[in-house]
Amino acid sequence: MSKNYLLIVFLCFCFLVTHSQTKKDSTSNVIKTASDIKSGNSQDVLTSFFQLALKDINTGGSFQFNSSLIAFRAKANPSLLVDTNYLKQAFSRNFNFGISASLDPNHQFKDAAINLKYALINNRDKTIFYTAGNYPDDINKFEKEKLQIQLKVYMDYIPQHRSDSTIISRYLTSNDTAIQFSNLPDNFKVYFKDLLKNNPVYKDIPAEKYKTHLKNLYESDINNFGNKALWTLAGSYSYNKKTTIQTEFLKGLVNPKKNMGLELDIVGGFSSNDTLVNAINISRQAVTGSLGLNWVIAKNMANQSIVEFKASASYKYIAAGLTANENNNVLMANGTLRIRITNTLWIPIDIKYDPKAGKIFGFLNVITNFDSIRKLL
Amino acid sequence: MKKNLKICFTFIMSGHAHILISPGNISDLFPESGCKEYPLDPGHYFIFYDGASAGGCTMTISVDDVVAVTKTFAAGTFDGPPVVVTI
Repeated sequence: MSKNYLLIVFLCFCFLVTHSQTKKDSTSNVIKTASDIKSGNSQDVLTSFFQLALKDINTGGSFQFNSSLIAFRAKANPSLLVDTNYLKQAFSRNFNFGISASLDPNHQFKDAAINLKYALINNRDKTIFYTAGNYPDDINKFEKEKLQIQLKVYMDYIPQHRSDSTIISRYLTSNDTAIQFSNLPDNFKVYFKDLLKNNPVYKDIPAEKYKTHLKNLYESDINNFGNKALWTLAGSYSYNKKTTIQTEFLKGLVNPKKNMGLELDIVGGFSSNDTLVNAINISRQAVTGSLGLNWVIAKNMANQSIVEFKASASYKYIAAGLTANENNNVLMANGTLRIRITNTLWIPIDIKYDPKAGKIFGFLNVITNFDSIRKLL
Repeated sequence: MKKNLKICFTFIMSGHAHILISPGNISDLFPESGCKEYPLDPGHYFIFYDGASAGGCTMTISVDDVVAVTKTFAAGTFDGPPVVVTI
């Protein structure tokens, strides 16, 4: 029963967080952050802002809170989020800290830990994507020339055709997707085609694709950016004196198309703890590793991942402290299905298969990634 | 007598913007948050702009330190109809 209460309280909290963010969004022109377009898997590897998770709900459960140092510091000093300060905070952006606590199947306290993580390589931080230096010359060139095209339309065409000014103005605003080339007055279509033909940068872009051309360049670049390497090193120390060291490497494998992506996920770890077996203190040490592929199956219109599946094979070698009837080599096949429920709320379902024992285990998790940015803006 | 047109961008997390001032065809790039000043003769000026920011951005246009226009944009790419300012 207490397990259900825990879940209900957590879900209510997640709802309040997501609801308050949605409410804020609707009144302030939908301020979303670059972290929203990260894959759920990479958000689990390195948190951009804050993350709350309730894991293994059906087997006792564990609670985790993680924060990036920059999110924590920005609560006290919001000016850190201004780009000229933010870009200098490499250590704070790449450093995560958190706490976790777990319960046994009888819902009694099992263990609690502090967790630290640092990204040794973080080439996929989308919060820094929009700096002018990240683009190939292509985007800068098209962006700059777009203003010359607008200038010509406003100076040459609109003064002669004032009744068309609203529809043309909306067409030239790239985020107004309601007006497409086909909706434009015929006179303007002819004028605009000529204008593009005579423009040194846009001359090869069909007028029908003018509005989406720059957007597509951005999306392609963002997807390529998200394909880059992320390598983290983490350590944790628990109340029960368990020490864990883990390293994880993520890298996009194929050029992600608009609606899909595939990333390699390699994890290696070592843990050491003292455990009491039949009143004898045993020092236990284990080495773990896993090799997996995370598949972004579907994205929504805002280029956010909404369904992902990670398949992995994991290996555990117990170097010392083997208990009775325990194998020191355990090979498992794992699958994690992640479904995005709201902008910030994910439901990952872990499935593990032990081929030797022929057993399947399932774990239900709830993860919410939320940030302070919306409240600070 | 020239007046001072001042354009400022504040980007959240990361961002950049291009502007174009007409007449005069003054084209400029804001690679990061900051202000730039343009001494201009009296008249009406169109200010075209576009850019992108990870967490949103604010554009402020002032004439002789009096704020004429402030616009806040959502995260991602942004642009819009030109701003008309009288110097």
